[in-house]
Amino acid sequence: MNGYSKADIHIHTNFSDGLHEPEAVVNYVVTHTDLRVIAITDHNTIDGARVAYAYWQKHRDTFANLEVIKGVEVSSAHGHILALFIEEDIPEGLSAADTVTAIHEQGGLAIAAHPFTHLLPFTDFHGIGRQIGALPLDGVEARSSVPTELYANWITAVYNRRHANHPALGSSDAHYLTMIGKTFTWFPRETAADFRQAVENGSVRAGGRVNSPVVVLQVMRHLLRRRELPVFLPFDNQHRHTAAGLDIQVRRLRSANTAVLTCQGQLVRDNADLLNKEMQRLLTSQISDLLVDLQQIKFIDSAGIGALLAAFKRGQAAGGRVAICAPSTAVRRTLELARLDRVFPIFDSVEAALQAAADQAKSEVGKAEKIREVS
Amino acid sequence: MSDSIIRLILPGDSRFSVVLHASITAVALELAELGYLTDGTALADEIYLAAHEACMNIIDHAYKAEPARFVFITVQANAANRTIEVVLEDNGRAYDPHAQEWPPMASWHTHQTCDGPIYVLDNVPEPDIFQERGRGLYLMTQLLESVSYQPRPNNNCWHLLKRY
Repeated sequence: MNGYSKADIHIHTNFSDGLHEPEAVVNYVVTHTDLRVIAITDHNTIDGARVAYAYWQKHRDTFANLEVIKGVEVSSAHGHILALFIEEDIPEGLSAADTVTAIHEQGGLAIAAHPFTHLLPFTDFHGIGRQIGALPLDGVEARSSVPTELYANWITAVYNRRHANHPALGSSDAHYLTMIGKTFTWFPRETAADFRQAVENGSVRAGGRVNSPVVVLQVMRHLLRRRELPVFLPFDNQHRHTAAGLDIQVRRLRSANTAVLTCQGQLVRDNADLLNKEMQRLLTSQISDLLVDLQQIKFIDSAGIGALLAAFKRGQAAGGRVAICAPSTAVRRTLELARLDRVFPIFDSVEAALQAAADQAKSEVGKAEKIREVS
Repeated sequence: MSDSIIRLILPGDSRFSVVLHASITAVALELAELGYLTDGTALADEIYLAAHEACMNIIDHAYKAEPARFVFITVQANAANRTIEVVLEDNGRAYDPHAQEWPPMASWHTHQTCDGPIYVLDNVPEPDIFQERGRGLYLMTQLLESVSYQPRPNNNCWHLLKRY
């Protein structure tokens, strides 16, 4: 839609029951979606939203096309209500009417979250239902991408049209990165202020689609995987890029500020730029150590070497470390020919590189303790 | 006596350089089978890296801003001289060693012929360890016995020679 932008105003982080850090959410939104406004709304806490907001503020020039709104999904005695544009927590357990008043006292917007949800009676997941007709809400979440909402969305839309006529918004209720932005709200122009104005004068529209149950299976699969590999965050921090015969899989490790890039194929002039950009992006997003796993790389040329060197320089300037892991014999020979073995630490495997980093950290701690003892 | 020749016409795109790799490997493996070589694949990898760099040089300089042009490649084994030659020809713009920042002009050695100059690359200084670009020609001289370039109207020619 021309002149309209997308907002997703219902996103959870690991400050409540979401799976991902607020920073990861912001990064994902910037790299994978075209949302212009997002609101972080954790259950009954604004802390996650504060972290995301601070992170966005800190990297404002990088995230120029995005605005982050602080919000909370408040559990009122009658169901969940989204509070947007607020600064402090809203007490939980108040009646729906009191919650809306409390939100308005802070100058926020009160939006009924999934009002007619019904399929999960055994959980805390519920909305305020018919009260949307009686309360002075600023909007209603008429389209949620949670798969169980398929027909509750429809009830909400119909009931809202007949009995309330609040602005109808769409939002993802994402607990999990890939759900973000599946459902969204169209609003005219682009900033958070425009969004607010659009909600207030009712010129918003819900857009996007509801997720299929397959997504739930995906989430469960990744939860299982997380239990198996406790070091790794689940797949939010794994993604993949492919171009011109090169496949890069990026895995962020939670423990250290480390990312492992597993490359596959050939690293040549036509795709070196992809690796270069990806490493640059990681080095500007709280990652200081990069381990480039070249085990599956069959061939590397001078442009590929150039990309590695560029990352190395940037990493060093940022006080980090870029290491090469497990190059094949042919690749190792090329690296040696280009004298890169003098620049890069080259490890036999990713595990060896991680072990070396851990040992180094330990010895540094040891040294610091010794210095303290002496003084 | 094995004097295999393979001629290729490849689009100027690194996706097609696997074909070049296969050709060079086939020639080298044949020599290895006949007992001229001990490790055919290692030799083929070296020649391929050099030929790939030459190819990329052609794409970057001769066919700059002109995609979908072709590189004409000949891979030839000469068992009597114990050499493998790779000749890469293009009909794009001539590469001018004088106009390049890297490698310095001192690393070329020029022969004047009736067909124009032939530039022979003999000693490229080792690039600064952090230099990101312009390693290709350095790698080529490290890998091969001789690298020469002859610009001709509509037929520029890189000549790579590997002795084994």
